[in-house]
Amino acid sequence: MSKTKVLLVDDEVDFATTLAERLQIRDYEAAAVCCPDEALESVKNDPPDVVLLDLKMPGTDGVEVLKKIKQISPASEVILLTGHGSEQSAAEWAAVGAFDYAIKPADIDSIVKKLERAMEKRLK
Amino acid sequence: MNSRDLQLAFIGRILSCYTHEVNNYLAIIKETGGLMKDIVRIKKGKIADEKQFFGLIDGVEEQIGRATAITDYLNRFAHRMEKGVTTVSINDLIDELLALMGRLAYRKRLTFRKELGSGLPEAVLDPNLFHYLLFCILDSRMCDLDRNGVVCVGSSFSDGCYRIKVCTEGARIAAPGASESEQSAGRHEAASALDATVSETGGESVITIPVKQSN
Repeated sequence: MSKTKVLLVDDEVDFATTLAERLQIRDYEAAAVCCPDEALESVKNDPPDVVLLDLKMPGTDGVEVLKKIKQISPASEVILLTGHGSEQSAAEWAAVGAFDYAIKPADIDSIVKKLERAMEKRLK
Repeated sequence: MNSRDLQLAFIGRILSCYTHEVNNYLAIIKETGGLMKDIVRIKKGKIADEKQFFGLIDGVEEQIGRATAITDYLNRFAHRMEKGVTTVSINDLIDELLALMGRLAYRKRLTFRKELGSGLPEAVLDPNLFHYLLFCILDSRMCDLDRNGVVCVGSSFSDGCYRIKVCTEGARIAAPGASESEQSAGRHEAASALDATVSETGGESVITIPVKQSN
């Protein structure tokens, strides 16, 4: 069985690369990019199974990036990374195509669970 | 919004800048610590790549250093609120505010440049009002500025007055900030309480504060 392909998008380079490495240790094919343009290019060239997308990046609205990702690759699931979330914002994000969200700093086990659930949805 | 609401909103924005900043540092520290644990687990306690391990520890120390620095700025900002009029260094106040507003600038892909004069005498004023006034001016200038712009803040002292100049470099955005008129009212009130004048010429704002003797 092929590895789950995860794309991490976060302007905090250290955060993105470290989390990617931790996911690689857990047998995910994880890559990290630091800006939305790079993310969209990567989704276009090699659509990931799941995108972990930081909601707040400089000079951009994460929700707009989410919409563009879903336009390019509707099958890719997107999990938003945010400093704070609520039931209301979760519903708003789901309405524009987000699969789920995780609050930073998130526990690796909870991220892995969300990735597994995203893959279950993809394989249905 | 009345002036008290505007000042509370200002404090709220400064606090959210701080919490976002520190939350990012904590997220990096958490992931780095987690990765170190993962490495030890995989190697069953034997650290094969010491260089990588020490690199991770250095990374943690760097993030702690950044979090400590911004916490120090917030701490000073908070303690200044306990006092009213006091003797302060104008340059320290500018330094503090720019450090705390760093996240706002970063989010808009803007940078701050400081051109602080040396040898300015200490000022006798209410630092909270000064911070609020400067914040209003910076915020409105930042609203007008497109990505990759530079906000320059300078300070000088001459003819018995402190002068704080704010100017910008880079492309302007057509739409001004939504809260411009409200901010303008708050700005005038703070300037009046500080006995300061604010002049706006072209792309430049100058706060002029006459020197006051401490009682």
